[in-house]
Amino acid sequence: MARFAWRRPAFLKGKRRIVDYDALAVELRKLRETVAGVTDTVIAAVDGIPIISDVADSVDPLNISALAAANLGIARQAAEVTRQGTLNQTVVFNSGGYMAVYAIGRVALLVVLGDSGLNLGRLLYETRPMTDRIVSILAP
Amino acid sequence: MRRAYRTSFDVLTHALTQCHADRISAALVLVGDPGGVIHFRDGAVIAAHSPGAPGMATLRASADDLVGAAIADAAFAIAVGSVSHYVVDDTADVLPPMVDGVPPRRLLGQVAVRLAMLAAAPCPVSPYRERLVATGRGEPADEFREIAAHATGRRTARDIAFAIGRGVHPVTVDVARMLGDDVLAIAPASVFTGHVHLASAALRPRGPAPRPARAASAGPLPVRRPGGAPPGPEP
Repeated sequence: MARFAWRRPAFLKGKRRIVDYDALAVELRKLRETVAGVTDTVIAAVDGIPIISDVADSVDPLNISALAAANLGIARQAAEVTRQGTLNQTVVFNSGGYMAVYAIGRVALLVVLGDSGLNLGRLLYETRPMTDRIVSILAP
Repeated sequence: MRRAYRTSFDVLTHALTQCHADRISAALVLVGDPGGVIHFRDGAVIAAHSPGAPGMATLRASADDLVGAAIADAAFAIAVGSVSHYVVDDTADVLPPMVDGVPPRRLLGQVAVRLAMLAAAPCPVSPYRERLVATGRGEPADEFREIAAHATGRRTARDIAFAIGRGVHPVTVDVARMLGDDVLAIAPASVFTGHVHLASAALRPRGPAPRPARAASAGPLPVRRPGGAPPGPEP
C-alpha cells in the first residue's frame, strides 16, 4: 500500500502535524470487512470536504460528503433544540439500503452506505470505538 | 461437508431441533457472522432473516415458493458463516405467518443440500470473505454475465447477491464455478481500494481570472436612415 502522510486538510490548518492516511484507510477497510452490508465509506471534514473515501465508481465522494455535512448540521440543530444532548449519528432508511452519518468530534464526519442487508446493530457496535480512533488519528 | 461449515451447521441443527421439540412461538437469534434470526410458531419455522441473504423485498425472482426459498437461503447464509451461540427471544414481535410453517427437519435438509452443492463446486468460496474481480479472460456464459459485471474487486458473493437481487446460495455457487472457469479471480486482500483526497478541488486557491475576451475593434455601427433601404419586391 502506498504510504500517505501528507499535510493536514484545511479544517485543521495551523497545526503542523501530519495526518496518517494509512491509519484512516485501515479503519475504513476494517469496517467494510467486519460488518456485512457496508458498501461504501467516506471520512470528510465537517464542512463537507472529503478527506479519504472507499467508494464504488458509481458513488461520488464529493456529493456524499456535502450531503452528509448538511444532514449532520440539521440533525445537530435538532439535537440542540430538543435538548437531547450531543448528536452521535443519523441514519437514513431507504427501500434499498441505508446511509449512516457519524459525528467525529466537532471536526469531521464518517459516512457509511450499506445495502438492504446491512447489520445495523453490528454497525452501531463497531462504529462507536472506531469514531474514537478516528478522532485520535485526525487530532493526535 | 467441509469442517468449517460443519460447526455452524451443527449449532443450527441443535438449535432448530430444540426449538421444534419445545414447540416455541418466538424468535431464535443466532449470534455470529453474519448470524440471523429464525422465527417460529408452534415449533415450525415461519420466517428467517440474515444480513447474509437478500430478503423478500430485495429478491427479484418470482419463484413459485419465494417465501420458502428466502427462508432456506437465509438459513444457508447463517450456516455457511460462523455461529458463536444462540438465544431464544420470546419478547420479539410474533410475525404473521406468511407460510404454513416449514418443519425444521425439512429446512435442515435444504441447508445441507445447499452446503454440499457449494462444497462440490470447483472452487468453493465463502460468500462473505473473498472479494471477486472479473479477469476479462474468457467470455462468461449468459447466465453468469450479470455476476461478472458486478465483480468489481470490492464485492463478495454476498454483496453481488444483494446487488443483483438473487439468493446468496445460487450466486455463491455460480461464483465458485466462474472461479473454476477463470472468468473470476479473488481480489488480493488487504488492498485499500479507496482514494485519499489530498487537495480537493474545492479547497484549491482560485487561479487568476481569465482575461475578458476583447472584441475585434470595429468602427461605429452603421446608422439607419429613412429611405435608405433598397426597394423591396413588388407585391
